Amino acid sequence: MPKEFITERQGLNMMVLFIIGSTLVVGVTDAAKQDSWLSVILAIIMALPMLMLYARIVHLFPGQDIFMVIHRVFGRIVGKVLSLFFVWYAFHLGVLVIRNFSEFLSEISLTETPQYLIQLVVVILGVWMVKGSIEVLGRWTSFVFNIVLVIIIGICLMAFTETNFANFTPMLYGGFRPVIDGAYSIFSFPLAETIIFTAVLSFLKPGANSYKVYNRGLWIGGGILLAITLGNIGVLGYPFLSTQYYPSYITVSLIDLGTFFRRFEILVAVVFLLCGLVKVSICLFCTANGLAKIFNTHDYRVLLAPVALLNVSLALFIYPSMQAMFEWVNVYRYYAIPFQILLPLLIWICAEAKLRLSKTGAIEKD
Amino acid sequence: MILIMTLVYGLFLLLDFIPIYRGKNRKITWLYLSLFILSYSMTVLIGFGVNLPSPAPLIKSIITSLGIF
Amino acid sequence: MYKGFSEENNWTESLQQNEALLRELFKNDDTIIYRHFENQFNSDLKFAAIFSSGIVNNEIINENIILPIVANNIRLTDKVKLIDVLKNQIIISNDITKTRELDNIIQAILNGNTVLLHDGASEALIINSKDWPTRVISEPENEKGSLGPREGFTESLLINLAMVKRKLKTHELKFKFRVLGSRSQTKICICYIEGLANEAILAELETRLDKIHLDGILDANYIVEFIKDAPLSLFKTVGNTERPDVVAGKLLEGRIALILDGTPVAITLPYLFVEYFQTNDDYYNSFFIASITRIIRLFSFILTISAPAVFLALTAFHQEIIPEPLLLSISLSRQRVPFPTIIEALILGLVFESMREAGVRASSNIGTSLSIVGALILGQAAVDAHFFSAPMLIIVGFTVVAGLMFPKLSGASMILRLILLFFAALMGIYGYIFALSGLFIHLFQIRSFGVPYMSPLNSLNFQDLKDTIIRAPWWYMEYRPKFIGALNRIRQSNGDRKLEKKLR
Repeated sequence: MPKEFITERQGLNMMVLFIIGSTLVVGVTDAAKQDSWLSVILAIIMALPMLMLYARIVHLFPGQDIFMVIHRVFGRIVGKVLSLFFVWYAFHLGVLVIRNFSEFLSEISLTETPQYLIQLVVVILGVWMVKGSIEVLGRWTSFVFNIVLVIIIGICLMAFTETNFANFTPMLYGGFRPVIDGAYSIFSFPLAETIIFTAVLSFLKPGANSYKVYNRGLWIGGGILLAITLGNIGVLGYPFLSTQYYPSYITVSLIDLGTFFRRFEILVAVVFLLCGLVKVSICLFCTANGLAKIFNTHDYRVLLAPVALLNVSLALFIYPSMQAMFEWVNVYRYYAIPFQILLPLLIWICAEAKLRLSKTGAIEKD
Repeated sequence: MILIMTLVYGLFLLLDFIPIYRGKNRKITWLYLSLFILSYSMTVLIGFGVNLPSPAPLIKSIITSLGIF
Repeated sequence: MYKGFSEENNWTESLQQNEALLRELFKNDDTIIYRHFENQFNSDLKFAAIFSSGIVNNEIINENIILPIVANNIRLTDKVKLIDVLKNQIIISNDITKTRELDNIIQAILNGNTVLLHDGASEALIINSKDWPTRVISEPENEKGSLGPREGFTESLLINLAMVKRKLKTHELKFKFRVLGSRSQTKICICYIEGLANEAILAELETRLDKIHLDGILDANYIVEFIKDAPLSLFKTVGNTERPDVVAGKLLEGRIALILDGTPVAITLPYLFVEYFQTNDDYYNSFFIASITRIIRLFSFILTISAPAVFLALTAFHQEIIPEPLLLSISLSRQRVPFPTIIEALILGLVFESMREAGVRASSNIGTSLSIVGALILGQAAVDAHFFSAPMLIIVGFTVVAGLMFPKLSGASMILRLILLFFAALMGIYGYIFALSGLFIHLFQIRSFGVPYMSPLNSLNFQDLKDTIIRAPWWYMEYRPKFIGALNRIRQSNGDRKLEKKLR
């Protein structure tokens, strides 16, 4: 099997779509009320060092994904256990995204279609994509990225015409605490979810810069999040915003351009479909790849289909209802700490130490 | 519902599993089959209306027991 | 290879025995002529000319072969064999070979050459006397252009090669012959420009051709299905054309062409998705017009596969998107139609596709009556009778017309239309998006001889886009497409230093 490569640009596009993926419709947390946009900015700043740390891990072992890194740093047994943790995280994330997907679609229009069918179609597309190779995912993402960008810019410009600036006042009415609180939520979902990319960016072309991908991905993805949040607050206003499960969708449905061109919310759904597909594919890839590494088999592709089917099975009963899904966001911010902060820190410290030690060892040998 | 599920799983077996089975890698075959059967049994149970315990409340209770929440 | 030819009945020195051998081989083939004659000065010199009537030029045989041998006083010396004398001094022909291989002799006769045997020689002469009726060079029916060269390939390989040769007068243009098909013995020719064509692709092509063991190659498609990258895909990963100017253009881009004997269709490869939307007219027209028509073609493709699906999705799932006046008129016209939209779309699609197929198969003078039946009876009457709604008829009619823009894609677009329709019926516009995503995933997956099929659409590199979505002016296309002509990218050497700097 020839080595697959993705370019820096493809990596960047993947990351941006991954970040805005499900957040686009679910919206960022409204803990900070009308100051949520401040939370987004704060979250980006908070996420920056963490993402640089992820980039560092990728950079330290070029061409090796997180599972190989763990294996190298911690040895066989501990490495496998830690890998399993990551596999679970990627798998669980995939489940959440798939469930998000089907809940959203069945809520907005496909009320008759069984959710199982929607989930199945999404997953089959994801499997098909990743089965082609990570290169296919990269090319597809770059292609879709332009469409998504055009739609989002168009939506934001149109939202601007409907914005009521009074919605942003009073600023910092509740003080800084809710802003920080919201910022952490946004940090854990979706910014720090990019830990998954430590398993993807190992496929970067030799010579590509993982820092650049993380850095730019964060800023562009975060910038889009900020624009969406601003638009949501500006158009909907705080109290109304918090009653909506899918604020962006409602926001866009309020936009009219003349009498003929209206109801653009379908575009939001389309963008969500495309981004969500990228996110599902990346999660599938990560899970299958991790499993393959744990069981010492080289081809992750053969494991894609069962992993995807298991994803769907779990997505069917992970939440009893849509309300439970949205409550989960509050749990998720704590649930994600070990995967997003603790484990990467541990890996990073050990990896640095190991590399330093082996380097000095090499020098002594000379 | 169960019919659709079974159909889908059957199709996956036919299109995806047979080439893997022919690949004669026993480890992969077993791994594939175990994941496959696990997910199939889960979907069938759900299809029959059995309430499977979701991991979400479990995780939630672990986190609350840690006292952060 | 040939049954009945083992070591014992080898080619001998006896004319009679040799002829008997051939007669045994060509038993029951009355087109083979065995013409015996002698030299008029020395009747001991006996000859036989064997050829297949109908594919030979009688004049050549009469005047350049039989006449010199009969009329000349052949002086024999001990030093030189008679066969060499014949070859070098007597027979007037520009293509003459000596052989003792039975396979060659059989092939020569079947190819329209004349085999000359003489008593006492274990070798035979093969003299070129090929001549068979060919079609005149005319413009291909399926690839008409409004401007530019009008000639099209014929069924004769050599004429086709001549047409390509006349366009590219460089010694770098290479023609490699090989024979495929154990029974049809079809000659095929691999054409490429050395230094432009990718050697790896060339080698890959040769290995793929080596694997063909079909007994008859009657058309380019016989080969295409063997050498295609994605044999189960709806899309072509190997191109075909009937125009020598198109072949020359592709060769200049670093592609490889395969020209076959017996068919006017030449194969070009690698073939990329954008080539569906490039026509030869684009390069002969003003670049403004060409760019606009190319964009229209691209849009039409998307419309032709998705119009019924989107219409179905909007009317069945997302009526809120349709503006009220439009929605009103649509539902008014649908009021008395008994079928659900999907059935309507399917039946109408079937009707139109069958009319298209009938138009291709039927003789051309039925065309007018076909259009009357189509327009009046199927169109007007069906709406009046409330069989179908007028909007659906318009949509399906448009898809068919738009589909006619890409004759090479018509089969694929029909199937894609059905698939998209199915998913739209299942999940509305989302199903449509899913199916479209699937289509693009597939397109991004396949390759043509190692070149990603969708390049350069996935890289969005401006240099490569100059000849894809738009057709940039010729003076602006300095480079060959990177993904194929990587060996020698500079297309115009106009002494501009800036260009060469950029390439590094």
